[in-house]
Amino acid sequence: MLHLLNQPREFSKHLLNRGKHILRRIYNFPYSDILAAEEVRYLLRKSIDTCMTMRLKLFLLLIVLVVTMLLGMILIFTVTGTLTAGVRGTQKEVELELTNISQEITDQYGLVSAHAVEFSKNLGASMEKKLTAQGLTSSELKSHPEVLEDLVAGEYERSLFTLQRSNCSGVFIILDATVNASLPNSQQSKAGLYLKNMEPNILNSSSSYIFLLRGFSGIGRQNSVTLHSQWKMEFDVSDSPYYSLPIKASANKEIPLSRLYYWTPALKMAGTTEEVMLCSVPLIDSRGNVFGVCGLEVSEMLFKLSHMPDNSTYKRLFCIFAPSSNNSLSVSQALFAGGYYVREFKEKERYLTIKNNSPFNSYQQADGALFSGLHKEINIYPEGSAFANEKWIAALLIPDEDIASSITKANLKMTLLFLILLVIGISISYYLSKRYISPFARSIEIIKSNNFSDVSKTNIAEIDDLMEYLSANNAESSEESKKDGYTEEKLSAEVYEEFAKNTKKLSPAERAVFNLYVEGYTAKQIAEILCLSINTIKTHNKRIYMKLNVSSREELLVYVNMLKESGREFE
Amino acid sequence: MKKWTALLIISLIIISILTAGCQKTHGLNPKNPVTITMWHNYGGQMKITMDQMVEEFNETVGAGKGIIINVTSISSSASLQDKLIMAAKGDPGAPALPDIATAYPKTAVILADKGLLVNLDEQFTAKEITAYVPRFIEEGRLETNKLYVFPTAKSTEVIFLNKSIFDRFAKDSGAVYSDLQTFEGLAKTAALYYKWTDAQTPNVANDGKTFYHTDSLFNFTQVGCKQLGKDFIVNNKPDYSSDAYRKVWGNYYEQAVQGYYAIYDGYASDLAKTGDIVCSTGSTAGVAFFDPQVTYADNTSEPAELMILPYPVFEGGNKIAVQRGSGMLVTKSNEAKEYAAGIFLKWFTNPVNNLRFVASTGYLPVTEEAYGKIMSDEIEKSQDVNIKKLLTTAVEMQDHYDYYIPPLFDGIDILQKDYEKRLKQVSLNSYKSYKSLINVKDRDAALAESTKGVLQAFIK
Repeated sequence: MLHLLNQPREFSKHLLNRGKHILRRIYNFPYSDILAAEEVRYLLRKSIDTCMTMRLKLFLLLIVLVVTMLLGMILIFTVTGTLTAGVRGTQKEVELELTNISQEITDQYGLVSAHAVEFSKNLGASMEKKLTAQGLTSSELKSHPEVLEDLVAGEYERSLFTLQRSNCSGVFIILDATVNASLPNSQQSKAGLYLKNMEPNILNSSSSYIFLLRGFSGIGRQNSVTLHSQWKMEFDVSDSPYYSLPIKASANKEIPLSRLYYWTPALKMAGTTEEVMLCSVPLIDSRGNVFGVCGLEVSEMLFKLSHMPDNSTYKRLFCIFAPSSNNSLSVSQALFAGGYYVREFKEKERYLTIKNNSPFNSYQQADGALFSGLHKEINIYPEGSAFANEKWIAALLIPDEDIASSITKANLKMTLLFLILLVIGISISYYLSKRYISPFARSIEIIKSNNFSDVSKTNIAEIDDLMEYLSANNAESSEESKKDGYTEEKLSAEVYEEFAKNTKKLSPAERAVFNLYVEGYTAKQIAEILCLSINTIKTHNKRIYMKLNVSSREELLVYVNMLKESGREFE
Repeated sequence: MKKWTALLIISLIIISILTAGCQKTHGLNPKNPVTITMWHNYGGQMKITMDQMVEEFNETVGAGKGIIINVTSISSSASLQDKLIMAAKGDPGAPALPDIATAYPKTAVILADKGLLVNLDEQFTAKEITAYVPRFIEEGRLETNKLYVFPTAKSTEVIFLNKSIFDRFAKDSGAVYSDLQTFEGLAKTAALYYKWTDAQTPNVANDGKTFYHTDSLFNFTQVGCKQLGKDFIVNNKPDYSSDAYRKVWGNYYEQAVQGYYAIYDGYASDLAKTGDIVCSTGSTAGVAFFDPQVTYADNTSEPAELMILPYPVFEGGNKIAVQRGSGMLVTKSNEAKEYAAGIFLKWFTNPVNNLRFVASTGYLPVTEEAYGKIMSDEIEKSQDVNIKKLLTTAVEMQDHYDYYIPPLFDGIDILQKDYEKRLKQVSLNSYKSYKSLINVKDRDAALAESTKGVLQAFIK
C-alpha cells in the first residue's frame, strides 16, 4: 500500500477503487453513477497534480479581496477628497495664520498711527509755545535758523518717550526750515531730528540702542546718543512723500489731524540703506499753519520680527505687506517677514498679479506663476482719511515649488501607507490561507496514511464528520475485507472481469465499433472507416453502453484505459 | 528559523543604510529646510554686502542642502554683545538666542559657561581648521581648548586720518605724516593742531580743536604697555605699577586734559563726521563708518579724503597691534541646525567668499590662502579706494607687526568698561579744571595743577 504513495497516479486509482466500493456498498449507487463520480474525482485529482494547489488558490482569492478593498478605499478617498485633504488642511493653517498676522498688523499700525497723531498734537503745541516765548510764530521759523537747534533739542525727551512707548523703530521731526538757507539745494534741506531704535524688539531697550540718524550732532552728544553711520545733519526731502503728502493733504482744513496721517510705502530714505515705512503727520500750529511733519517708523527688521509666520509645512512661507491696486501687489513697495529671502525678487519684480484660485490664490508675475497663498485687505486709514483710497494687503505667500513638493510629499505618504496596508494584507492572506488549509492537509495526510487511529478534532464540523465517517468506514471495511477475503486486487479484478465479460455480449458490428473506440477513433472517424452513417454509429453506441453498463463514451474510455493500464487485453 | 534570521539580517541592513543616510545629511532635507536665525553687526554699508551673501547662500548651498539663513538682528557690535548676554541670562523682554551670532570671545565666554555654545571643532575636520590663520583660531578657543568662536572676519587697529584737513594743517604748521608713526609724535602733532585751530579764531582764546581719539582706551593701554615690553593685565588684574603704564597713561591723559585728544564715549567716526577730530585709531572694520564728507555746524560740508596708516608705536617700543574682530558662535539647538550652521561658516569663510566680504567691509581675511596672493589680487581689483588703502596697510602691518591677543577671563568685560569709564571721567574732571585754570595761569602751571595727584588716586 505504501508504495502507492510515491506514485500519485496509482494512488488515485487506488482511491477511486476504494471510493467506488464504499459508495456502492453504502449508498447502493448504480455502477454507472459511481463510475462517473470516480471519473470526475480522478480528473480533479489530475488537475491538482498539474495546476495550482487549493492553498494557492485561496491565497490568491484573499489577495484579490485585499486589493479590491484597497482600490475601494482609494476610490472613496478620491471621491470624498481625502487625498487632497493635506493641501486643504494646510490652506486652513495658512488661513488661520493670515487671520492672526492681519490682526497683528492692524493692531500695530493702528497703535503707531494713534501715537504719531498724538505726538504731532503735543509736539506742535509745545513748539508753538516755545516759539511764542521767543516772540516768534511757526511761520517765522525759516527766517530764524538760530533757534532751530534749541527748539529741536527741547523735544528730544518727548521724541524718545514716543519712540519707546510705541515700540517703533524710529521717530522723526522734520521742520520746514534749514540752518543754512544760503547753501545750494537748501529748499530741499530740512532741519529736524530722527532717532532710530536699532533693537525695537527688546522690551527694555536701553539708550545704547538709540542712534541719531538725522539732526544736530550736539543733540546726540549731549544725550550720549551715537551718530548713526549714515548720519546727516538735515533731511533731504526731495522726492519724499513722507514730507510732501501730509502737508499737501493738510491744505484741506476740514480734515481733522487724526485723518491726516500718511503711511509711506516701504522706501529707503535718501542716504540710508534700510527700508522703512513711515507714518507721517503734519505739524500744525493753533492758527492752522503747517510748519513741518513728524511721525514714527516701522523698519523692515521690526516688521520682520513682529510678523514672521511660523508654519511647520511650508518653511518658506512669508508675509508681505504691500500697497494694492487693480488686483495686484506692489512688491517693490512692500515689507516682508519670513523665511523666504526675497530681496532679489523684490528688486526685479515691481508687481504681482493676484489670481483667485482654490485652495490657494496665485500671485503671478508677467511670465507665469510664482507664488501661491492667501491675502487679506488691511485698513490702515480710518473713514474720512485723506488717504482712505489707498489699499494695503497683507498676504502669506509660498513659493509654488513648495506647494508642489508638499503635494508630492503627502501623496508619497499616502502611497507608502497603501503599500504598507498591501504588505500587511498579503501577509494576513498568506497566514490565513495556510491556517485555513492546514486541517485539510492534515486530514489528507491521515487519509494517505490510512491511519485513522490518530484522528484528532479539527473543530471544523465537516472535516471532523468526514474523518469520523472515514474512520468508522475504514474499520468496517477492514473487517469486511478480512471477512469476505476481499483485496484491492480482487476488487479490481472483479470490476475488470465484469467489464471484459460484458464485451463478449457485443454483436460483431458493435464489437467493430467498440474496437475502433479502443484504438482511439472518434465516432465520426469510425463512421468513415466502417462506411456507416453517423446515426448507425449512434445506434451502436447506445447498445454498446447498455451492454457494458456505461452511460457515456467518456466512461467507456475510462474503463478501456484502466484495463489497458492494468495490462489486460480484450478478447 | 532560517527564514526569520534572514528577515532580521535584511531589516538590519535596511535600517543601517537608512541611518547612514541620515548621518550623512544630519537631518537636513532640501524639501524641508531648517531655518537658522542669525544676529550680526555688519550694519550700514556692510549690510548690503552681508545681505547679498546671505541671499546667495540661501539660493545656492542653502537651497541644495535645505538651509535658510534668516537674519533677525543687525546691530552695533556693542549692543549685540549686550543682547546676547541678556538672552543668555534670560532677562525679561530679551529675545531668544539666535542659532548664529557674531560675538567677541569675551561675550562667548559667558555663553560657554552656561553651556549654550557648540564646540565648532565638531563641525570642522582638523584638515579644514589648518586652512585658517592659526592665531585667529587660537583666539576663538576658550575654556578647555574648545573652539567656540569661529573666525569669520578679523581686524586690527590702524590710524584713520582726514587727509583733506591734515594737508591744510600741515601746509600751515609744518606737521608731517611721519610723526604719526609714534604715539609721542601723535601727541606732538595733536598739540600743534590745537594751536593751529586756536589761531583760526584770534578773537576767542583757547578754542583749539581736538586732533585725536581712540576707539578703545583699554586696547590702547594694553597694546601700549605690550609695545613697551610689559603686560597691562597680570593675573587677571590691571598692573598700574610699571613705567610702561605710566608712559601710556601720560600719553593719553595729559593730551586729553589739554584738549588735544578727545574725551568721548563713542566711536571716532562720529567725531570725524563733524570735523571734531582729524585722526583716530580704531578697528579696520570701522572704515565703512567714515563719511566721505565732513559736515559742520552750519550744515556746510567738505570732502574728507581718508588716509589709513599703520598703528602707532611708542618710541623705543616693539611694533605690536591688537588683534580684534568678532567671530561667529553657534548656539546649541539640534543636530540639523548645528550642522547647518557649520556649513554656513565653511561657505562664508572659504577664501573667495571671505575676501569678497572683506573687500567691501574693511575686515581682514581669516584663511592663509586668502591672506596670500588672492588678497594682493583683490587689492588691485578693489573699486573702493578706502578699502584699497586699508588692505594695503593691513598687508604692510602683517609683514612688520606682531599681534596682541588680549587675555580672556571672566570679568574682563566689566574691567574694560570700568577702566575706560574711570579714565574718561578723571580726564574730563582734569580737563574742566585745566580749562578754568588756563584763563588765570600759564599752560604748564595749569596742567600741573589740574593733573596733580590724579594718577596716584586713579591707580589706588
